[in-house]
Amino acid sequence: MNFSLHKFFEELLYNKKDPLLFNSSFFLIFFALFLLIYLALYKKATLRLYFLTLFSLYFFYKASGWYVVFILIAAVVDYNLSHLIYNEVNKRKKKILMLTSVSLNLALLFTFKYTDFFISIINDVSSSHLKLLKLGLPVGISFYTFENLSYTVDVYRGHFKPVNRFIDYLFFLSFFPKLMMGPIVRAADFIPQINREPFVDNRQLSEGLYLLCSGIIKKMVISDFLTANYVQYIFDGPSRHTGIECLFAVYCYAMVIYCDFSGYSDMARGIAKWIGFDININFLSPYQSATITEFWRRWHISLSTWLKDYLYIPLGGNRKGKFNQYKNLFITMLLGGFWHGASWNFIFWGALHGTALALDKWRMAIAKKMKISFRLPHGLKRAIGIIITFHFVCFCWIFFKCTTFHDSWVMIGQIFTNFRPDVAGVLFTQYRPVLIILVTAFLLHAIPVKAEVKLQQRMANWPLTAMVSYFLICLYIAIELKQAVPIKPVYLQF
Amino acid sequence: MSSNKNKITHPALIIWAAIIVLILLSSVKLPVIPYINSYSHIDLLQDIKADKKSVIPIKKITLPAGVAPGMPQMVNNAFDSTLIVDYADDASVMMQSFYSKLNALKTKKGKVRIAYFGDSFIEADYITGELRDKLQAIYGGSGPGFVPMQSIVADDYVTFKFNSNTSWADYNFHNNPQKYPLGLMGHVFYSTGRSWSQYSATNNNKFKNIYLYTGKTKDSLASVTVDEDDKENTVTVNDDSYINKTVISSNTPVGKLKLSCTNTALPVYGLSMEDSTGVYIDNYGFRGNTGALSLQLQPDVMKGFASYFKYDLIIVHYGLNVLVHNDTNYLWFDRTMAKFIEKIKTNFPGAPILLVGSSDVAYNEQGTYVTDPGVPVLVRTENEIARKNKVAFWNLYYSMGGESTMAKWVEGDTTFAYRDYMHVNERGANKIAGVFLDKLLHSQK
Repeated sequence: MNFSLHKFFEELLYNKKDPLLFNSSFFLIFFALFLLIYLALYKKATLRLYFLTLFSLYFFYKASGWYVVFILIAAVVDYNLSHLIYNEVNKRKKKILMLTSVSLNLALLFTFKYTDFFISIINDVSSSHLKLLKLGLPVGISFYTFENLSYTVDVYRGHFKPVNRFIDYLFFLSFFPKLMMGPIVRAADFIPQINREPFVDNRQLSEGLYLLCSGIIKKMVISDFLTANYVQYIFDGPSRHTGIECLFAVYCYAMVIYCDFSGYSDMARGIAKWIGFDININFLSPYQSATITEFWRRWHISLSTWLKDYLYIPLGGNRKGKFNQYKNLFITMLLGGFWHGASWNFIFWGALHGTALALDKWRMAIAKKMKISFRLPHGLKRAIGIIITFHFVCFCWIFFKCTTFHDSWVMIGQIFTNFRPDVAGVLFTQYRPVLIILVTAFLLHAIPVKAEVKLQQRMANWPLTAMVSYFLICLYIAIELKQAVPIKPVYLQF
Repeated sequence: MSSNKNKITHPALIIWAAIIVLILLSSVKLPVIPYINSYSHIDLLQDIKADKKSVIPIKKITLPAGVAPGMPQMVNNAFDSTLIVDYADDASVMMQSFYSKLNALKTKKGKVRIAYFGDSFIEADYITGELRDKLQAIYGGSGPGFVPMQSIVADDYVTFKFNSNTSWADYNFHNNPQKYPLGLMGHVFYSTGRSWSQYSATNNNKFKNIYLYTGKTKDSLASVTVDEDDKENTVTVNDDSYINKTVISSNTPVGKLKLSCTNTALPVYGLSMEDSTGVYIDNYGFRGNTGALSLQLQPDVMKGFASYFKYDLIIVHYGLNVLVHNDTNYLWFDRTMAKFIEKIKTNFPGAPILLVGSSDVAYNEQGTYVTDPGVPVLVRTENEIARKNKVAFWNLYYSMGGESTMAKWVEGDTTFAYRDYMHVNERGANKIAGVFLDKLLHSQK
């Protein structure tokens, strides 16, 4: 084998075209080396803290280049502001400080994420030709900004005392497993773990293994495979494909976005568990939901709880009557949609979910009042609910995924007016691997949470060799599929 | 169930064990088991290994006769050139006669008509639409020319809005058991009783001259109902010839047109919408066509349309469906094109023919998309076909950028193609149309 030292060092530097992701072979080796050093010093509290923080910042640099400086700035600003807030006795001044922190955080987020969006609105409305800034988005900024906000607001609300050392705060903010795609961690959950000596028992070991492998399978085997071999072709030009192809693509995308996102969360939680930290669960088999309300209790839990605590409740929540509750739900979801991306289709997606949530609340209120209950067996009711909820969520995903409204309407149009079930034979023959992976993914998703927990418990008793084998098998499958040449697209005759 | 021991070292053990196994595996050739693994070689450390020279085995290439070996340099000037090369030896069918007619439009009123035979590369009026717009901007004319009775793609056409109640029976190259006379675009439509189609002009362009093209039917009183800007009337369809042209509207601008037909025995092809002067391109793209499907066109149909559409140039552009990965032998395509060109010469006498070579197509070579090795071979074959059959040739592959153009068009910050690395998107179509026009004009002597 012919190793290139030059290439090795090149790999250590930030590469814009190939930023560090959990699912890269570099990260595997990187993490393995990290563990060796970590094991050498994990018992010494301060050293451990500095090492973890430095490693996290380096990880961030590898993923995002010099933008790492912004997380440092955010940490410095909020660390100091939170102390000022805590020590401030005057209620009015306290509030001003809190609002200052909120404004600064949002300003940072806005500058990078939303400036071009607002510039293009101004251009559209007033026929000006302002140039877009085209600032890249610092990795993780949507997540750590929200963590920052929750921290200072919680300090303001008197929920806890701010940490005494800057390094503690910086560590909380930059903790590398959650840095890129969340979950959004609450300080109240994480800070107590910082100065505790890391302890990994059987359960954490097996849960970590399970989560890491689950994440690898979800991200690389399911999500990347479906995208490269089918989803990207259809969403690239929905008008060139029949309705059945489009519908199949929407189902695939529903699985892609779930696996992508929850896969990342799983890997983050698994890695955290393996170094002795606990991060809250972020997804609970959301497509098993029978109502949209239930869906948002199972999907991106860290975001929906954050929105509830820091947006919905401050707006008034459900404390000002039914109409205001619905209005607050709608506004919260609208902004939640906007958080996902700076364009109208995300806002519209949020609006759709906000409307559905409000309607669902109304339905529940009416059902309660009139004591209506359909005379259907519970299982059947749930099954119908699951199918309806899933399809509503899929409908909304069309707007989430398509970059233009035009494409969204074309896709919907194709599904409803040009379905062409007769091409099913050719379609599923050509894309048989895609169909197999999709069906497998849904079957896995249908496994009840209780069963998953039981499996993890059983894994706790596995010998080390079994764990290594399990890990290897998952890695091997993932590498195989990653290296495979994508299926060439087929254009069916209309 | 939790043990008291701190197993914090175990994750490291697991990961390092896995890494060591994978490194060992990467130095071993694994048996390739179908459906289990696609590579006999797993490389975890690919990123830090020294670059290996690309080891793709290229099959020994059998060159078409008359071509000197050596790839990619060519002895033949045309292959290097992005300009159109004309192999015709009869002045009446040389590109120059087309250029003269085109240039005459600048001073005299006249009409120049182009037929463009192709595949999905030009469907939904891609490339032909943009090229038509550009040509009309210089030489005059307005209107899309020939459009089929029912949209054969779901996409919006460039120049007008099109909807039909999709109840027309569509017989085409893939579905014609009764051997109905298919039109030049590969389709013929029959009403199923209450079929209609509607066209609305966009951007305030109005359709001025509208003609309906139908076939022959035993019922000599076949008619269609026409609804022009909400004024309805019945039009009796001419039925004297094999292919018939009926005037629907002449010189009165119409913004919206709906055409319904109840006669189920009348073969309907489509409309042409155009001004009395200017340049027109008729899009005859058919998805999946290698060119072989076009051999199904009946001479009577071709002659019938030739009598109305006096084509001044016939463009033939296949390749996307011809290309087989890494293939080096396109003799079958050679024979197919020879037959099709012969068919065109017989039934559209006097029209210069321009063969457009295949566009760039990329394939995934171990993670990176590069030009498929079959492409340069196919393009060279097409050049030879043009030479042998004495028609003109344009090297689109070279003109659009050559090697790895598709990869750049898909992966660049601005995309010009879809992620199938085969078809261009609207931007790409416009770009190609621009290049085409440029080369067309520069190729004049």
